[in-house]
Amino acid sequence: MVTWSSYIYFALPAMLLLFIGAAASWRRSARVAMAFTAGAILVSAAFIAAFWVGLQRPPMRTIGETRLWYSFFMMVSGFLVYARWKYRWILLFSAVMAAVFASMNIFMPEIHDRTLVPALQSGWFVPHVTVYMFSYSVFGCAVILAAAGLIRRTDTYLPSADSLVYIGTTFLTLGMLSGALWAKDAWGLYWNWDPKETWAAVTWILCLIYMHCRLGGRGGGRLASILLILIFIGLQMCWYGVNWLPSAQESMHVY
Amino acid sequence: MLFIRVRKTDFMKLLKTERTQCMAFWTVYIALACGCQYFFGDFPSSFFAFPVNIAVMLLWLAVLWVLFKEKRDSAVSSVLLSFHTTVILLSAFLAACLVQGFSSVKLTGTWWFTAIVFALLSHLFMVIIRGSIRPRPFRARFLLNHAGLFLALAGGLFGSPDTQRWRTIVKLAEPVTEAVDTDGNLIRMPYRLQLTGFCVDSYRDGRPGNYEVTLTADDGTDIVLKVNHPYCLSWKDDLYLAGIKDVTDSGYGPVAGSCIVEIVRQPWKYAQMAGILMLAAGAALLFIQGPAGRPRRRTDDAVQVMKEV
Repeated sequence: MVTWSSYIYFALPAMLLLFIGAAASWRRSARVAMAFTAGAILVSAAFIAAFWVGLQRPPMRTIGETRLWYSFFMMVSGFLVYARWKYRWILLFSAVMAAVFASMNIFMPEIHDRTLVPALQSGWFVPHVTVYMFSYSVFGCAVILAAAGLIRRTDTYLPSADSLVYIGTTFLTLGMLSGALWAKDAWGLYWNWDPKETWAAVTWILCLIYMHCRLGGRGGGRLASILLILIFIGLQMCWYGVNWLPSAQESMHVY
Repeated sequence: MLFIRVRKTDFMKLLKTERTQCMAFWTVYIALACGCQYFFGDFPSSFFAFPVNIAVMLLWLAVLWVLFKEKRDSAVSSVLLSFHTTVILLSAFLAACLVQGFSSVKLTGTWWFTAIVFALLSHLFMVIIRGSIRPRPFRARFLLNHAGLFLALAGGLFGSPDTQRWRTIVKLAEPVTEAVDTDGNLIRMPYRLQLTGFCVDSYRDGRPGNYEVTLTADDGTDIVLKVNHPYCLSWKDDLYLAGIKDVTDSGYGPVAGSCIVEIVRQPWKYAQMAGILMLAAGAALLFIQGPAGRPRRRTDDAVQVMKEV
């Protein structure tokens, strides 16, 4: 049975393939880069599938399990951005981010708990978490572009960042709306202003400000990049940062 | 003297800019809301229960419609339709969410939070009218996203005085007709419920795996309740299982002596549901159509530049 203890045997080969892919993209071998990155994605997907079967529930409950998805989607997003725009450094950055989250799971795999509390036994559980994790990873790529733009003092990356923000906002919105529908089934109201929901709203509003500023022609260069970094910080707060706030004690999202 | 005259002219020019007018308008508006909060306490939400909320909403929408149709050149219309208003109100809403996010204080009942949502709704309504009559790119996406957000927010703001939650403990022994509302007041429920069956599954470590209860209503209907599976009592009332109590081991498995149920009355849920579905469709179009007004040449040039880097 595949458990957290088997994770290292999947994570290390996946990371190796990922960094070989990143090196190949740096050397302008696009096909080799994409083949190795696709290999890394397949190895990670194989672990998630086997882990899901072993747990007898979707691996989406603990922070460690959501890190697993983030690491996986970071590879997928990096792959898609590279396939679309061929930024030769994007695979390296997405590989580093995926490796950081994979390493966290190797060194602190949270709990090996197989139980799933009744509140999480819902058809909304899988789409809600996966859609959110995918949007987080897309914004991860967007923030890499924003940082590159700030460091190189250029607006060249902004059109690509815009495309990523539109994709990320789509999935963020769908994640938030699926959460609202689930909340109605579970707690009676679509929106309860729970700390987690409040931080989801903060992130979503930041995305709306970014998109409106760009549409109004006011979000050039520096402002757009700073907004993207704020969106990324908002996402981290919503994901796990909220657990460190005093208001987390009252959160209905603590399981 | 000349220096002062020049500075004065610049200042007058600044005052006449749309951005400054919007900033001034919304600063005074939010300051007034804060003043109301200081002098009167929280927003008197219960005063706006049905039918007052419907009357106020229709009057408000009619005023906005007249403003758009007849007084389009007025200062208020300009402010309500301005791009700067979008950014200012989104930033104000963001600030309110941040205050709530970092504290454990519920701000949704305050004057200033209500004022920000009301202003946002007014702005949304005005831009929806303009967007629906004026040709623009991605019109369907624009209307779905803005009208969806309008419905979801309006359902929340105008529907909150009509939303009620009652909790009660339903026992095996006798039917219950009383419950406690969110303010702790004892009320008589329009339903009579009795616990007649239960099913409790536990994991090996004793943690609850799943539980469901069967209640009997006063008309003899059997209601099966599970977490995440509410029961629709009427078009506005839903029944939820909030927990089970008095679980004992009978020798044949765990037995629940009573359960906690919650009745949620939310007549505006349909408006919110419609808003959520429209927003979901708008989000899908956001993904399909991509950034609006993207300068295609610039993007392609950027791709070319990056390929060369």
